Amino acid sequence: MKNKNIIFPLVILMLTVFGCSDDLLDKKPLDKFSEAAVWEDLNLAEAYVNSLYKVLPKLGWYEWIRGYQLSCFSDEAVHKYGYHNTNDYWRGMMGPSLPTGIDVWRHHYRFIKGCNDFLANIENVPVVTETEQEMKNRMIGEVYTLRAWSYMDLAARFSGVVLVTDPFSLDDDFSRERSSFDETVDQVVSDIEKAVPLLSLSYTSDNDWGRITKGAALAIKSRMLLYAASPLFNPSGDKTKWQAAATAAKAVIDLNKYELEQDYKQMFLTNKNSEIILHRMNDNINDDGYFGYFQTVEGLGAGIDGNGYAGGWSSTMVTQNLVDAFEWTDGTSFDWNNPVDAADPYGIGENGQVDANGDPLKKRDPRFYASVTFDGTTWIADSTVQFWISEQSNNYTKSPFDADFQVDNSVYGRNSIGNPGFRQDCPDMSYIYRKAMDPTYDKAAEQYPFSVPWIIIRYAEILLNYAEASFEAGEESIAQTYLNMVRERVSMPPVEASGDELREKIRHERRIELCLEAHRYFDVRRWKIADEVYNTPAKGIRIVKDKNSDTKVYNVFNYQERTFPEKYYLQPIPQYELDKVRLGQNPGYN
Amino acid sequence: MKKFCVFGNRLNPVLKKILRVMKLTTVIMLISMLHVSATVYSQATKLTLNMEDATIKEVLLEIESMSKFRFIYQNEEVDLNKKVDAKFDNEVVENILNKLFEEEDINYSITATHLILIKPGQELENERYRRLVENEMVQQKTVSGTVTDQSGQPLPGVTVVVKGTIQGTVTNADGEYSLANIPDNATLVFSFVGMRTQEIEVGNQRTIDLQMQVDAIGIEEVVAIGYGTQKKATVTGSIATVQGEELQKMPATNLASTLAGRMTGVVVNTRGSAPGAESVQINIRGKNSWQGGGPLIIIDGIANRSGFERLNPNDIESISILKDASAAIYGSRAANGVILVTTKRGKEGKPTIEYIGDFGVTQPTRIPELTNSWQYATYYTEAKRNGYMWSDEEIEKFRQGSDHNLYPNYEPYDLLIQDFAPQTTHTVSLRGGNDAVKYYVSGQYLYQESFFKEGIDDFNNYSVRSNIDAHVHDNLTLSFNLLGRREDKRRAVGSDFVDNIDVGFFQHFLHTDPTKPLYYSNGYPAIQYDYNVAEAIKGKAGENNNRTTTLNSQVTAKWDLPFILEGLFLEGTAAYDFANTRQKQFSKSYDYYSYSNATGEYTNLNTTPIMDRGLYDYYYNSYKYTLNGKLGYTYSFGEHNINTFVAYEQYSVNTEWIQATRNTFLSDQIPFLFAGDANTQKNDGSGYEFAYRNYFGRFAYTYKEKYLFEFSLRRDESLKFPPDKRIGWFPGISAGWRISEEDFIKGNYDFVDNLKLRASYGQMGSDNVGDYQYLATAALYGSFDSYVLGSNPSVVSTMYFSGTPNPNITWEVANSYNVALDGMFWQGLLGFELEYFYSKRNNILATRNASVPIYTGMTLPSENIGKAQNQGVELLLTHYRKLGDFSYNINGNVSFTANKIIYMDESPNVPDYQRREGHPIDSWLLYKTDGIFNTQEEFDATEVKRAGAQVGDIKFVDVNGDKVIDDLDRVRLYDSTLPKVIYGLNLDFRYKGFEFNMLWQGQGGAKTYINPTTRNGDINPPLWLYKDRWTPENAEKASMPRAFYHRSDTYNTIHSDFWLRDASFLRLKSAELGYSLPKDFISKASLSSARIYLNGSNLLLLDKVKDYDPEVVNDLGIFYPVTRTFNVGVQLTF
Repeated sequence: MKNKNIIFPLVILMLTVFGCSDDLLDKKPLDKFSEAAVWEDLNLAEAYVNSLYKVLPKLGWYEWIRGYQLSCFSDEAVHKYGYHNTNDYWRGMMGPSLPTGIDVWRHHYRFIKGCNDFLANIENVPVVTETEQEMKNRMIGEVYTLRAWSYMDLAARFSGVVLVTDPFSLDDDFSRERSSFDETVDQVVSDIEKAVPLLSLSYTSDNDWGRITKGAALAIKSRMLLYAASPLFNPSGDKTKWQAAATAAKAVIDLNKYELEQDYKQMFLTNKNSEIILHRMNDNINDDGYFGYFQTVEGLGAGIDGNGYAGGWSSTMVTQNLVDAFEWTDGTSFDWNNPVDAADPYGIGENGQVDANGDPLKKRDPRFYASVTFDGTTWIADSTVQFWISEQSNNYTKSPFDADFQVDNSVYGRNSIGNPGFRQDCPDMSYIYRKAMDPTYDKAAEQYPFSVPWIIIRYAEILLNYAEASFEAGEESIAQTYLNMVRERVSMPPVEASGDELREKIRHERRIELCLEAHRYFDVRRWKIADEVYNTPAKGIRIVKDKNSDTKVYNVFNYQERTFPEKYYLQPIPQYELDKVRLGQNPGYN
Repeated sequence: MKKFCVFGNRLNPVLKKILRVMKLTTVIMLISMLHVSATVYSQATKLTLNMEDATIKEVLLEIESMSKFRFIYQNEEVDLNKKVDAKFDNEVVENILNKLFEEEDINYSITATHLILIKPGQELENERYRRLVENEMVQQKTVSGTVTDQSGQPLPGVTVVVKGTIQGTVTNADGEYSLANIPDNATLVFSFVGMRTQEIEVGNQRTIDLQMQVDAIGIEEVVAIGYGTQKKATVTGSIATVQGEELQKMPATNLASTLAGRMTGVVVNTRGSAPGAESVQINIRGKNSWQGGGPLIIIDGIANRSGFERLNPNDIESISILKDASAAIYGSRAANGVILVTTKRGKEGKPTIEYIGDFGVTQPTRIPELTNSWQYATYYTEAKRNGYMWSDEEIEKFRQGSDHNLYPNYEPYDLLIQDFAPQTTHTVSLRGGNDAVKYYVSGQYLYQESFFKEGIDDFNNYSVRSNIDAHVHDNLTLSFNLLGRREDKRRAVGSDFVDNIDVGFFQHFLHTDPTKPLYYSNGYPAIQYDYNVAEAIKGKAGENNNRTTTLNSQVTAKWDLPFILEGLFLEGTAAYDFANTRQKQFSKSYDYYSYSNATGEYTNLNTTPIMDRGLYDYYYNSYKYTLNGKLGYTYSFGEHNINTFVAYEQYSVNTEWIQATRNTFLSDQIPFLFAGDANTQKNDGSGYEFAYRNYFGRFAYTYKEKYLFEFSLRRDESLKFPPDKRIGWFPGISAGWRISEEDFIKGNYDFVDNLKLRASYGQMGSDNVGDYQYLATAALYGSFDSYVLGSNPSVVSTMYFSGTPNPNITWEVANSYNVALDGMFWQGLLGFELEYFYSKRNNILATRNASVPIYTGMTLPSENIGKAQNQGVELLLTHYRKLGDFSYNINGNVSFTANKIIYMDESPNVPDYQRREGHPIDSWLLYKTDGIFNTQEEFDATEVKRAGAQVGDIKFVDVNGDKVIDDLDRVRLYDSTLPKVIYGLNLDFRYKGFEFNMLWQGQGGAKTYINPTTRNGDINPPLWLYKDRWTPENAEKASMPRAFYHRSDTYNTIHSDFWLRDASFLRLKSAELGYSLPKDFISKASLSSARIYLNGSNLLLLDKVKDYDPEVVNDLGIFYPVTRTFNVGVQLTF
């Protein structure tokens, strides 16, 4: 029985060696750090702060809250495919259980929690050197500002919200009440005031370009106080609020850090310029890029084919309503009833409207050409965009929504290149979003880094904030001065009006200067002018070319009927929150 | 009188049964081959005898009492009454026997089962035959004959006994037997393991040939249970089993899909059938928890082995499915049932080589028809889709198809799908062994092609298996299992996944635009959406090669410890599984052209071929270790049987992956990273590890095999939970009463073969949640979610906390109850198994919904707060009958399940018609609809309409009567794609060498949601949407909404019950016609058996879904269709 003696111990050995290894269950995630480690290491803490920046609106794909798409919730644009419930929104269906794509409740509170966690723990992070202390202070300032951004945005949409400034833990009593609007504004102001002393005017390292500065913090405060002084939130018209808003704007101006860039169009395409106060750089990793999403999905793609069109979904279509608002360079309004205007509405010399040099007789405000892609404009590789649809003379007065509308493809043949109908993705309204889109990009460069920012706050806004607040506070001359600074940059003639007319000019300037930059949604509401400006359908245009005379005829048509119920002035507290907790709902949503 | 004597007459019943169970086949074969054979046992067992003047018979009896040896001999042939002196000291049995028979003409042989056959020596043998021939000595008659199995093959080892005596013999290797001195009134009893015992009255017959029938009752059948095997008769749990040979009757390339319809309580749905990437869902007894999680799969005793689907069905001995507390021995992961797979092992006998070759063709069961060009043009013109409107003249041009470039009329599927896709499998196996070493070795090659016309998508699978058992030492058996497999999946770039299901190119097919050609009239590829799917299929856009190499290895040592205690044994298993996945995708661009009618020119739009070339390279390795040690004890005393063990098991897994990409390849010749532009390189990688530690044991006791009792207990530790919550105890208890063994049945109701009442209760766990939820962790965002800073923009690290940790997280616990009644009557004419089960799941991990406001910002952890229950009834009916050469077997099963959520922290504000608590786990929350607005009158008469409605649109119902149609009008429909009823019918007919088998399978109480217009992209409207659409002309009859462009006109695409379809079906899952060639015909080719067969799967389908396979689960109806297969095969045994 020799074998027995060997095997028995072997089996026992096997059981003991493998069976009782105590480190078997002593394993940790290999793809994560422990939370405690983050609060021991300034570099990890910085990575954490970096993630909180994602609260800011961005252009790209993965965060639904895209600045430019807010345009579709205003009279600036229509989303071709009704994304983010824009169609339902304009049917008047927004409500607690259909909060639509403008709902940011969950988004902001997620980041507010992140800020609160950071602020509760950052004191524990050990620092040794003065540089480290500065870094720590700076990060605290950044996080206070980011939290202020969230509450500012929430207040502008919902009025007063639940103020959470400390982290919750699982066993806490979670019940809270909504604070008032003023309390919410106070929270924003107080966070900014804590942040400002910790932040510097600018960063020494170019790598930190894009981080929050003193100016960004003050600019958020300026916007918040401007909103707070506006009719929606200041029904009594308390002038001291306007005064406070003016002071806040002036504080940014007095930093003497920012100035208007000379080239309006190029400013949106330059990643670092002196007009930017707060921006978020586009992210080109894994199709999350400027070109991959923004340019081709929202706008017009590259590599234009023979008919002036290729690629792109044309999702964000600019309305005729906005296009019509751009003045001529001489400061006069555009007028369809003026035959000269109607023959060459874009001021590009269409239908023979050219002078002896071949230049257009009239030109629109330069900001039009920087903001909108339209029929006849130039695009990538200097090709001419063509949105006209057919060469049939009997369609001049028809829109595609008319029952007897028909397209004549007899000249080119349906599937032939050269026929503008070749592409399914032509914009129905014949306009596409253009601002901040760079026609020098080509498809091949898609893989490489790029440098187009999404600007969140720029100096021109501050000037217009200051102009508006000063006007409302009774300082008309200051208002005129700062308003005209903005106009002067694009060589538009100065405004000399006063009184209500000046107010209209200030508001008009804001609409034009800041068009498609996620301001109009807020401005129309805070001015309480929806009745005036939304009481008309979103319009598009249909351009038909006569095959005999080679002239184009422009037919404006109603693209989308729109309603704006009174309750829309404030967004509904979403039902998913009310399911969990009792909170006061905004008027009209119960 | 000459008697066939087994000394073991005195043996206790258990040993007798063991003797019966033993494969006498091999005994006889050995006898015919060997005179004397030494076994390990016989060599190792030393005996000491001290007997004087004893008969040889007495000596042999003494040896029996001292050892495991048992002697068999025929009185008439050997004389054991000779007196001898037997004095031996530590001698092996051979030496003793040699001495005893020294002067006798007696021979003997020893078998592996320690039987010693004593028979006349050569001289006497010859003499006996001479006398037989001369017919001198036969006083009473001799009966002889041949015993065969159902297929007519000779059956060695069948015991033939004269009823009421112990006179008998066993059949030899050719199935022949001969019994002398048979009285006229005798009855012969033929018995063999796994076959029905048959009694034949001799009368005046001299030759009795008999065909044995498979034992339909299965009393003697042995089934695999958790960590062991058990006789089916004494099973107390709910265990469904299926034999490997049954699974082979279906030409399936995926093992999981062969299980459908065969067993009660096993819900199997095939959701897609892409080559090598089938999606088969198995749910044991439906759903018990909304956390989901499939059954635990154990392959040859080892859990967490991947590749169950890829196992070669020909390697499968059996599959057992543990449905109730019988799974409790697997503790923490058993709550959703356990599937035990046992692969074939060697068996004693001469080596047999088997070749099985299948050649088949497959085609889709269903592909939804799409519109052709003029239908498409008509539809979108009606829909007023911008840029997609045609005049009547143009639509007429499409109809005529006279101008292929501009107004084509062609069937896209003709260019995209082939009529039949070939598939083939070949298996060669070698099986055999002796008492020392047994082996089963097999190799398989499988090839499957996709449906795509001239497509490159295919699947090659190679596997080898080697299962070896070595009886290395008297008490020690070592087993080695090795499985090597390589899976090569090739896909053209553009083939994609939806919901993790490989859907091939069907997503692209859905948006094929038939108004544009795929190829121009000159053969140039055309362009559709910057793309040409017909070119992509052929791999022109690149190729993706996914190769998985798997090595499963396992060694088991079983050591009997009779020197400590009879029946005690130690068993240890170590398994190491390695898998590597290597994926390589090389993308490129291909030529496609635009065409100008004005100039007649074609322009190549492939302008940046170099830029478009990119390589993605990915490696993934996983290492799994399982160690298991078991101390077991099996003992019988009198009528009491004990079978018990305690065991330890640990499992750990490590994985790691790395990936890299580069773009801009100058050439597409070399698909390796170095050849790409270094400026474009990116890489990523990470790892994962995990472990379990478990202790468990079982105690089983039976009395007279009539009263059955079993208890198991498992203690599991899982890393998923915090150290103080890691340990879970999972007991299982069951009992059975074999009523048919009671005296009041046995004598009185002889038609009752088996009647058993059994019941079980068990507690099992499920830890189907993300790992480390108890830890507060911080992770770096992947490159998909980065942040960019800097004037020269670059990605900065961003870190987030992975949600609020839950320090209290622990097991989900299932309390499972089962009662059942099994019966078998009239030798198989009627058999049934009726089961009722009830399972209550506690501690289901759910996120607290009602109570934690969003403004806390917390990403809530799963907490153990949910409760659900599940109950059901299962019925299995069997019928077996033999009429002369014809026999048939019918097996029908039906299972019902109903589950319910008891608690899930649902918000109290949810209206009753949307509540989940108190209702089935799976449900849809959908708008309620009432057809479409067929007429203007109907439209006007409907007071409440959803904003944007038009005549011809879907009519939404104002459920809550608030005059507005919004989200509150959605109702919960308590249905899902998981059926509430499943049933199966297995029919098996045999006539001589012919066999015909059919498996019908079906489900009820299931729905599927299909609405392609929810696609976030253009679609070709399927024909069913086109044909029945509302138009002013067809207003009254229309059942589908008016033509609409779903991307900008979303009214009709809203999720509503309008798009739900009843997914009940009955299908002919498989059918097989087989023929075994006559033996005398094939023996010339030195074949021992040859069988040819025709079979097929998914041959017929009766359902209501019509346009799609009813098992599909995809909102858009995009899926790689379930396949119908026609197959021809041969099975040759050498």
